Amino acid sequence: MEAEGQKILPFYLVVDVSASMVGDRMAALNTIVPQLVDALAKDPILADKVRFALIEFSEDARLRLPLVDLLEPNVVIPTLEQRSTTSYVAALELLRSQIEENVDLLKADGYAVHRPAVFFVSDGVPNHHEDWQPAFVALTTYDPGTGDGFRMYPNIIPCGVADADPAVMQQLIHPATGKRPMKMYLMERGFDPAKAITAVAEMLVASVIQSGSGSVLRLPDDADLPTGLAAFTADDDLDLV
Amino acid sequence: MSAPARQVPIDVPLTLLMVVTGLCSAVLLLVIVLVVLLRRRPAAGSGGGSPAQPASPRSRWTGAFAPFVVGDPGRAADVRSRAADRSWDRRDTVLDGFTLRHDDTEVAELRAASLRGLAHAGHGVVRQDEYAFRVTADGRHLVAAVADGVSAGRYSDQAAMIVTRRGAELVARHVEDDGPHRIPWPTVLGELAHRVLDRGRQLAAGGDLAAERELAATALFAVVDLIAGPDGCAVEIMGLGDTSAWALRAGRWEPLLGAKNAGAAITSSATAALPALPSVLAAPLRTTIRPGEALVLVTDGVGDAMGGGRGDVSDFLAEMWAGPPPAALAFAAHIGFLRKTFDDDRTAVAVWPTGRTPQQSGDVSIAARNVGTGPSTTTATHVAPTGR
Repeated sequence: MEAEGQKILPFYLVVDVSASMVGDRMAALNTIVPQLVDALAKDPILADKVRFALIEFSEDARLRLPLVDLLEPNVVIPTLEQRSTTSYVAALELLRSQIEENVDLLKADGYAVHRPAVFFVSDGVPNHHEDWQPAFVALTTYDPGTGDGFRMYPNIIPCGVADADPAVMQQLIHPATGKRPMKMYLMERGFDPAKAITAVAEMLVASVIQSGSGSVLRLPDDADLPTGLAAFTADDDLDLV
Repeated sequence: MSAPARQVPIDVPLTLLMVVTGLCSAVLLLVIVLVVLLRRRPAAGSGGGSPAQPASPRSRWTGAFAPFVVGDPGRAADVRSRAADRSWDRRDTVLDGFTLRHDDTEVAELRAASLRGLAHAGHGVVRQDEYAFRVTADGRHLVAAVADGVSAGRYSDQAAMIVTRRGAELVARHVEDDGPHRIPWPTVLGELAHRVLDRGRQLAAGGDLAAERELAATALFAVVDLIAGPDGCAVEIMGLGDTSAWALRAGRWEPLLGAKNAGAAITSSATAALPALPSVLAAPLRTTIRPGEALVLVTDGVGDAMGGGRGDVSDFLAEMWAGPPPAALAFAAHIGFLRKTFDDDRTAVAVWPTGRTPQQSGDVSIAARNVGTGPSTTTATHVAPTGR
């Protein structure tokens, strides 16, 4: 138990690499992790606590970077490549199994693991007729009274660009209510999708930095959001989008 | 014939004596050279506060400082401090150390320190922890207060100041007016919540909800009877949130109040904090602290690292504080230990009763008799709340 209560802030980036993620969008996606590495290298306080994992999904979901300290010298940043369809179920199921495995292992080693944060980036809609809600419920439902459900449930921040369906993205916000409700970030209508992905990266880095100073997940103030991105709560009326 | 025969046995011991003397001198010289060389070597890796040898015979000073490190110090250990983004008058580090007297008798030693954590120092945020203390007018009771401003709030340092300063004042007044066992804790905490909320309304626009979000602090109070009874000094403790009270007895930590449960699957930094009040307030905890033991109040910047009273940080602090109370600067350095990811503000207030009572002024036999008599059988008990 050498870790003896060392704090861990786990972040999971889940990205859609379906057929629509082409050209400059994919190039923009591939800048997210290097930007985060740069930010961590400048902030040793954060770098001591932040662990990061990368999951890509299309017709299936793949773990491209297991939960790591991004500044460890042997870490190789993977390059994402475009694939085919969009299975939210595959992404949510892999996410759940990874979180469970990672938290169990870290706890066994004596770490104090804070609630994981998931940034879910998509530019499209889930596969036609795909019933992704059960996988979402399995990932997010927990009853502290009875202990039923997934006690390691993450905070989920959906980020939608291009043709992402605002209504679907909104359902992925977790927790949607309560003391610390999360938000989603959508590309403003007519904005360039690649630039919006770059804005998502900026928002993600700002969120990691703000969270690291207090060990609580903090999203940037709406006023500080980069151009092209707008924040919405689970209660916001989407007719205006 | 006999003379030459006698000369031989005389010559052998003489030669032997010369050889032995020569050897002894050589060994002695070697020892002297080694001692001189060792003494000249700089005190590499010497811990903070431990006096080093003079660098040269001409030095007119001694001493050294290096931070204490417990395990891996982490990358953050090298972070440069930034001035706080506002409030130039909010100190980075404060500390106190003095002997408490009652009628000229030294009844207890007090040490206190509050340090800005690496996260706040590195990011240019003020220290949000605070401590305060008061002694009642009759000199009989010490009131110690520790508060941790909730980091999500921008003005939580001010909540911590209100809770500790105003809180210690209020509690001392109640002890003076009503006696030590009739402190109306719900009234005290209610009054402090009211004052924190009032300050919040002045600072944060957006009503009471915003006020509570921008300005909140935990609260921990200990009232110590400075006149020891047969079981030591009586202590009453009341707290709200994850600021914790501990007893250090015979080198072991006994958690008294407020320590976190380290077994949870997911660690949460959420804590109860004023101005929010629980619907039902837990009863105050009563215990006694004997001479040779210490009562220690800490914010979670120290408490979390103590891992339930076992582990490296607990061992380190127990070793530093189990003996005679350290110097105030050393005490501050002890809670400033470096350890990876433990970057929160750190505050500790510790009280060591001497066991002397005013009637026995100058008589140290009580203290001497009680120190090191093995594990104490004293246990802490919760009592029914007294309140209005």
